[in-house]
Amino acid sequence: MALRRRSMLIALGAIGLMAMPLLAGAAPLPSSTTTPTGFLRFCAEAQITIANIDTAKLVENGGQFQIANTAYRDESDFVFSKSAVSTSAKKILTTSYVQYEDGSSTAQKLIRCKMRTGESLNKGAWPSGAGYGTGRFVVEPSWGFGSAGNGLSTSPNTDGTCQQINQTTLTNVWGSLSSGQKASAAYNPDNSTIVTDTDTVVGVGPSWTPPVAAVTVSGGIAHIPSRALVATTSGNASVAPYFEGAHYCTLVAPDFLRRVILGQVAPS
Amino acid sequence: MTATTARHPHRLGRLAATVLSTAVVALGLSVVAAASPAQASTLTLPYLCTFNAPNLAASYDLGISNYPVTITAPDSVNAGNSITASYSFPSVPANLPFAIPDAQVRAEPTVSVRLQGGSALFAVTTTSGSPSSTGTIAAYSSITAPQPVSISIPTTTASGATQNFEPGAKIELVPGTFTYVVVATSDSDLSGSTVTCTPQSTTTAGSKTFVNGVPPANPTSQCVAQAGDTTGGSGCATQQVAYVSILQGNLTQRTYTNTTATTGSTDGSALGSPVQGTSNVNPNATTVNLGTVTSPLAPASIVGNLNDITVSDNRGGTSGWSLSAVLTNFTGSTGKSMNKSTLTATPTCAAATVGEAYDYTAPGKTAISGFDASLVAPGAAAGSSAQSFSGTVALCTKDGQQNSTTDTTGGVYTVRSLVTLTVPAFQAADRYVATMTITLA
Repeated sequence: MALRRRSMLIALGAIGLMAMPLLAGAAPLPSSTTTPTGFLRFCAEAQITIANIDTAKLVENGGQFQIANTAYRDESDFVFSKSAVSTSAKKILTTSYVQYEDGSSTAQKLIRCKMRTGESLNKGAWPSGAGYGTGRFVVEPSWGFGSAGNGLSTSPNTDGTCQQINQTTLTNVWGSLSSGQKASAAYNPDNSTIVTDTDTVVGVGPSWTPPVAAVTVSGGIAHIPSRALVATTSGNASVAPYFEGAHYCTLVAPDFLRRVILGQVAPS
Repeated sequence: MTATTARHPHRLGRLAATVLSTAVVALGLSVVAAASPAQASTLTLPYLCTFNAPNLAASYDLGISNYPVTITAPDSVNAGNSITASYSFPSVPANLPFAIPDAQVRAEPTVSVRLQGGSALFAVTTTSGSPSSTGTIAAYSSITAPQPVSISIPTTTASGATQNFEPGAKIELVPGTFTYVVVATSDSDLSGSTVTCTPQSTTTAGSKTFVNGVPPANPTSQCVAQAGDTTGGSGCATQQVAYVSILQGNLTQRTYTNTTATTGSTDGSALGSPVQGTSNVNPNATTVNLGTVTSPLAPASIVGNLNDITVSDNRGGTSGWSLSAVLTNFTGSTGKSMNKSTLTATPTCAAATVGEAYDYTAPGKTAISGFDASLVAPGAAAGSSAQSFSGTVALCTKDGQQNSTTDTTGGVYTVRSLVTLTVPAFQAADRYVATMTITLA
């Protein structure tokens, strides 16, 4: 079943590929987050791109590893959550939170993903005594899977970027439109009236959490920005392990991007 | 957290049966127990609910919210029998952004079992709930399933309990995890998905069931221990079925003299003219003396003491009570008056302690011999401070809380009250008197 789902996602990605070349290593992201897969697994799929995951090592392709995601309804709960690993279950654990355009929380606008860095996946347990959260936000005190994680990232020293995720979303959404919709679109990636921006990288949570725009406009060009938080495990020893190995992204929601492209809502 | 309970009025019968049962256990015997209907208790507890989609390796944390849940269980069960209980949960507003087509959902509740006030012994989950009829769960809607779901709670190791519950045991059911299971859907990604709600507070019991002893229908009165010239073996046994009845007692109040002197006034009992003076100490159990003052230039306060009141409740039931007081206006011997609103009360009320629990049947102030304060039911509360006698004054109220050993609201309680008289400035000289009526109901 999971294999069928991934096949569908690959097919969706293929649709995008026909419209615009995919970036190397891009994950087959869902083109809508109002589907079960899109809503519950968007960040899990984004993790593939961010950490350059060797998909052959994933369960759905006969491997042993799995990427699981927990979406949070409450923003403060999401803030407490951390990306993590379960070494016994061989799972990468991502978390996500969707921000909405409307008060009734039905029109998705922005997706926040907490993911793992590629370099962390073959790191081992934290130093003894390091804290690891409270209550339901407790995580396993380990950066990665240790040597079992060797090769899980095909490029552990260079993570993918949030921009790549947004670019894939743009490609997928544009590829899902009909010819008529493309002809009347308010923004067209083919003529670069809508583009993705390079990541604005911050180092700590308080700088990543504040509100950000999903799409902005400058000089008639729509821009899709992203704020990224990258905290590698090779960083400052004074940083708690709880916060290391983290790669966070703010990402445009595909359904919002579709409405922007079609001129149904203004960029914001 | 709040709790409401609706119990059957046959409580006294059950109580008597329980006491009887307990007495008999001490003898190693059994008694007949009254049949008991079901009780339903609704608790409002914080739950963390999560939508889980195992086929997608994903979940949606819905956060912590308060939910009113209902545990239904019988007041009593015969020893050896299972308890048939149920646990109901409201619909959960999952508000998923996608629909679940062709879905059937059933409820899967878990209750935790413990002895009264103890730690959890084991948990019981039932998967026998009926599924909903097939239909689409719309996007942004709630998820629910047919309820209540019956749960069979074993009371013997033979039926799955971790211990045998003896007659006299009080088994409490505590609400545990409640799960809605999507048992069928045409979307294979969502098949087997669940909404699981986990209580964040696990100390509140939703029901209490007493285990009754069951006497043999035909007690054995003779047996043969050995046949012929033999010895050893398990021997033989006859049986004695013991009965005892506990009758209802009374709800009473009795006053005892409080000899604490007033403040703000003096002992004027020696004065005879022009106005007869008043002592500032109560002389007996039915008189409150507020002493003597000179007509003041500004309002002046006298603080005296109501005589001590002992409320005794050995009705053997589960009813509360209230103690209140009203006052007439103060009137003087020459036709002068002071309004009753010039007097206020600040009561105290508490379960009696050893040494101050007085026997209302004794001729004098006699402490109850062998009094055990631990058997007094909690829930006695004093009225507020500085209540004016312009209306009815609440001295003490006993709610429906029961003692965990006696399972009654009974006990002995001591009620005291300061009474403050604010004498108006330039009040006419006279000796004033008012009558206070204290009602126990």
